[in-house]
Amino acid sequence: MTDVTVAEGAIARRRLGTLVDGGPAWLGDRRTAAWDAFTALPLPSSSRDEDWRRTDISKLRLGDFAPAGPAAEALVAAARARHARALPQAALVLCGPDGAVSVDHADSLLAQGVIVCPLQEAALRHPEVVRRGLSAVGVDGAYFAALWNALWAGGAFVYVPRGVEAMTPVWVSHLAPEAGAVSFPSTVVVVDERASLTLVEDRVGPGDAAPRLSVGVTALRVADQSRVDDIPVQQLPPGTWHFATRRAALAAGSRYRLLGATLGAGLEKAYWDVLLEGAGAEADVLAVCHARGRQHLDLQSLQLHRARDTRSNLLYKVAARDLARSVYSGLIDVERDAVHADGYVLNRNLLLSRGAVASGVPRLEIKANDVRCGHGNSVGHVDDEERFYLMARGVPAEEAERLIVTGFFADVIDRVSQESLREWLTALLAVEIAGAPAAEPEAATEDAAEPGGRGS
Amino acid sequence: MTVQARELTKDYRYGFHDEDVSVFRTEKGISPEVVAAISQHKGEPEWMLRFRLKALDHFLRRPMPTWGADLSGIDFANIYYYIKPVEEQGRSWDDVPESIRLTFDRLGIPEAERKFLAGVSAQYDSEVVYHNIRADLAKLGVVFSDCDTGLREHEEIFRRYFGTVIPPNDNKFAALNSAVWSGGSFVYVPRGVRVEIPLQAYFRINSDNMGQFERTLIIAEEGSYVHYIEGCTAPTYSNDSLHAAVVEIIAQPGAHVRYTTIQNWSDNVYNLVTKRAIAKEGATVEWIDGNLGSKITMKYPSIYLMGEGAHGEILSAAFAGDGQHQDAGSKCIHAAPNTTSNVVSRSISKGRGRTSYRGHIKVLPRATNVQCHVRCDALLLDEESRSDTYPYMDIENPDVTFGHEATVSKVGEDQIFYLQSRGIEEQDATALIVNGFFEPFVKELPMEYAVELNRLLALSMEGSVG
Amino acid sequence: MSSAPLTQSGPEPPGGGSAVSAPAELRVEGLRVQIEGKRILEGVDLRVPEGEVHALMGPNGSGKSTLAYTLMGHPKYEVTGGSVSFAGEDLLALTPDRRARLGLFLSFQQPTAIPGVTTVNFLRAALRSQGRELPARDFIRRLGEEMEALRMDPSFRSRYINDGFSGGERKRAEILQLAMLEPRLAILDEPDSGLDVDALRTVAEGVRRVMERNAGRMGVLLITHYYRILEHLTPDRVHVMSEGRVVASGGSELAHRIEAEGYEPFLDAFSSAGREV
Repeated sequence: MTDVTVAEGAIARRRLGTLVDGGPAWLGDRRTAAWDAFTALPLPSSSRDEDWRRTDISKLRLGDFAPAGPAAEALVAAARARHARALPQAALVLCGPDGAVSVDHADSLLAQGVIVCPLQEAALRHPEVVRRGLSAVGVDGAYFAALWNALWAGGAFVYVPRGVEAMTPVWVSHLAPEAGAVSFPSTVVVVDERASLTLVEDRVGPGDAAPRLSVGVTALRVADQSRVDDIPVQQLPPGTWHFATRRAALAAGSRYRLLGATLGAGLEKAYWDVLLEGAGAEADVLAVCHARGRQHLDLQSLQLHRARDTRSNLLYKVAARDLARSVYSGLIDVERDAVHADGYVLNRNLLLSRGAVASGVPRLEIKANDVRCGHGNSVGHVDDEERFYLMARGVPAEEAERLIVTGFFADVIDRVSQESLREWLTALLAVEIAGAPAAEPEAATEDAAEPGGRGS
Repeated sequence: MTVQARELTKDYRYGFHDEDVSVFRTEKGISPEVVAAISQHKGEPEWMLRFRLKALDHFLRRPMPTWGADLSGIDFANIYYYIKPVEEQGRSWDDVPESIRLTFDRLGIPEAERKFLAGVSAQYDSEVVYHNIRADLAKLGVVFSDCDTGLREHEEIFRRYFGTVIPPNDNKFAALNSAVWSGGSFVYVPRGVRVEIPLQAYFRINSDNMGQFERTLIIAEEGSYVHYIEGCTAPTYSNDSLHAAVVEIIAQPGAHVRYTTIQNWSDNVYNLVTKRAIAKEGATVEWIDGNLGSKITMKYPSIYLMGEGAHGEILSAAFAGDGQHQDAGSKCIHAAPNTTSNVVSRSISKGRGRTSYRGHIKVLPRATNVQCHVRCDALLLDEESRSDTYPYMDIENPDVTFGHEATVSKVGEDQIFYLQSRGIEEQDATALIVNGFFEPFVKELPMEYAVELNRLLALSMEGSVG
Repeated sequence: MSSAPLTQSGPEPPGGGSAVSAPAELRVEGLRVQIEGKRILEGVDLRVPEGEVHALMGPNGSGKSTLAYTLMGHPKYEVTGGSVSFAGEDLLALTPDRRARLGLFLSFQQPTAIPGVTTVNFLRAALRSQGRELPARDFIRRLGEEMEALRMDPSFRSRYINDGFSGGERKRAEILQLAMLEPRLAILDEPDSGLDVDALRTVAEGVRRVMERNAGRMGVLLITHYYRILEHLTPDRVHVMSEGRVVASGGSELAHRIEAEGYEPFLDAFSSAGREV
């Protein structure tokens, strides 16, 4: 049983009561069921739970985290600046850690009949669509998804009606909570038949290394023949415990493309699930991850092939240095009816320092027989020949290494079609690669819940 | 056009059994008394009894593993843990009781010994009933005996290594083996001696509800070479049998040990085996591991590359027919600089068979300049077959080149058509492709075993039409 | 696997151990074929009498390879109409291996690789399945002779079928199989594509040698784009395919005209099927 007895903490039954009372009945039932499931589950354990075998969160004390207050003005300005630089034409949904939501630049989308609004508002005004969006994320399964289902607030909701190609992208900024607090970043997207959308989700916070907690869910439902480009960027402060579930349910003939960049947080456990539910659905998941300092970044992916002629491809490229640790586990699960499924996973790791660690397991479970599935997995270091070649042309060793690491990420970043967004991502990566010193965790008090401790 | 899903009557030609001629057996079930009875019957030194009892304690306290195959069908209380078939071990086949000798004749062991083996050990239930090594090798100081004899006649060296590679608390089934072990092989190859032709051990379960727990310890001194081959079969009974072996290998600097297994247990045997080798500086260890039989196999031959420049090879092939689950794989732990390892796994699932590859590659921080490569390919033959791949890796040193690839596919339609266009029937075409798929494994076997393996595969592939 | 008694491995008419009486004539009538719902052959008529050499020419995509695959019985090619008989048997009712045992052979344009199966083992299995197993020594000697004639390196014996072969090696390996299996009708699907002049001559001579050895009993249906190979293997008849039909047929001089004028005049002038030129 989870210890959530601290009455004044954010994660408490009293908080649940407030949320249940303030929302529609169906959502209240959902929250209550999720809370019951959550409190019945023990904290995931690296000795007991296969999913958590390489990610130890035994030092996490959920009860210590306070409810988040409104975002600091500086952070709001920083988030707006990121949007303005990377994709100014996109509608902007700013989600504060306290649940406050503002929507800007959405006029052209609203004129198309696209709904862009706070999720809580949508739950009241468009309950059926929100329920559709949420239906892919069960309330009683995983520990942190259950917690999110019980206590989320604020959040972004996007609905693209049948046949509509959203003219501009939607940019959702999720702002980190203040030191010692918890937030529940939430995005629910429903794209109806033959429609299309580009979504950017930017998780951002201040640069200090105080402990924070972020428990998020992004749920996407992609209907027949529709298309979604999904671009999550994670650059949370280095003291953040980040638990995130991203789940896309794909109907027949739909096409989903995820282009992700994971750069921040102290300890992250992210689930990226692609459910290929309709015949001919296709998914490409392409992501880069740069880990440094004492970051512990764990990505677990699922490519679930449920229908015939489905295709999925995942490429995950990780560079880790200092004492950072990358964990990747992936599963391609081909169900019996998914004939002609084609699934592939490639995980490539570049270890840049002594002390950096890459772990993982790319799994295959194949129950249909007429399939083509595979995975590749590699770990290496910067190639001496490449470094030598660059140095022979006059490039200093460190610069050569930076060039090589940048090149390592290029085949993912190059697939971002919007030029300004691509340039912004390249710049974010360049800062990470150049290694501006990560803020050291604040002088830890005795029982500060600081993530990123090295599990065994 | 898919491969025809003909109902197969798997023709297991080793399913016969002999009359019970055993001279001693413990009561069914396991207890400190049973363990003490085994030790006493063997006249062991006190330290071994203590070792056994401590291991029993580990066994009883450890939970059943839940992460692999389904082991819920094992009833530990309904197993005979020790059955002694004969009073005396034979040095000549003439010394072996006739019924048992005929069994090994049918398995082709004496003939193989005459033709191409340097030494043979034949275990029947709990004890080795026949043992022989060529005189010239014995003269060079090569020891090849059953493990009990190893303990009796070479106690000092036996005790130095026994249980050091796989401690009794390593896992539940290693603990069980450590408590009730009997038979198996003890191999000692002195410094610089190269045993160019293979030593073979043959393991046969005869009794119903039998647990076979042989224990093998191989010590290859500096610069030596040995190739050890084991084969196994059992009668087909309606009750399940349990085979839980432990194999420990120590390859001293520059030594080269090759360990080949052709596992062909009947499909009522739970085969839960722990195999691990230590490779010191410049040593090479190879596991050539073929799994065709058993109801459930869980076996992950491991190599701990402890010395600089050590090299490991694990080459495995698994075939799972209807109702079988082959959960097999490998582990390579790189603990020293300049170590290399290579893993190749091929598996085929047929009918409702299931194969799982489960592997682990670990590179420790001090192991610089490591190269490891893992390649797993699985072939599915039927609609209902299943294949899983779980390749774990933990790389804690940047100075490494690690690559892993895996594929799962079915027999290619174009390949079948190509062979058919040359007049080969579809079923034979499938068999050819299957043989070709296992070729990387088969070509590492001595000729006689390769022929035998291909024949076994052909039997497994054949339909009701002969 | 069935193995035939050795007595059947003596001199035999090509095409198998069973006594064959019907002449090995190929008759294709009104053949319609589609692949995954797409119509490719729209009513092909063609007759190749025993022992004759026929060339099948035509632009890319006209259906030549589809015809070859269909004759051999590839499962992807769905016959929606028409009939095919060979040596008096309804070919369409037979599995590919039965067709092979009847004496049909297809030299693939892009033969598939079968890792792990050596050329030797494969050929022995093929001969055995056709009831023409040779004693090991005879087989190896014969294989050696054929490989030498095709200027193939002896290492090919133990290499896996087509695995890692270059384009030219694959073509030679196909002809090697032709020479070892000695069919009654060889369908050669562009055996000349991608070959240099010397390799082309070797391949063509290889085919001619098999024909001569069988004293005019082996027919050939040669699919090609190029005139060059026809200088080595003079056709009795030439057929031109376009858009899924045979649109023109004639003697070997037709190939000359195609070489000189291209396909255009034929396609325009003979849009109706099967016109004699």
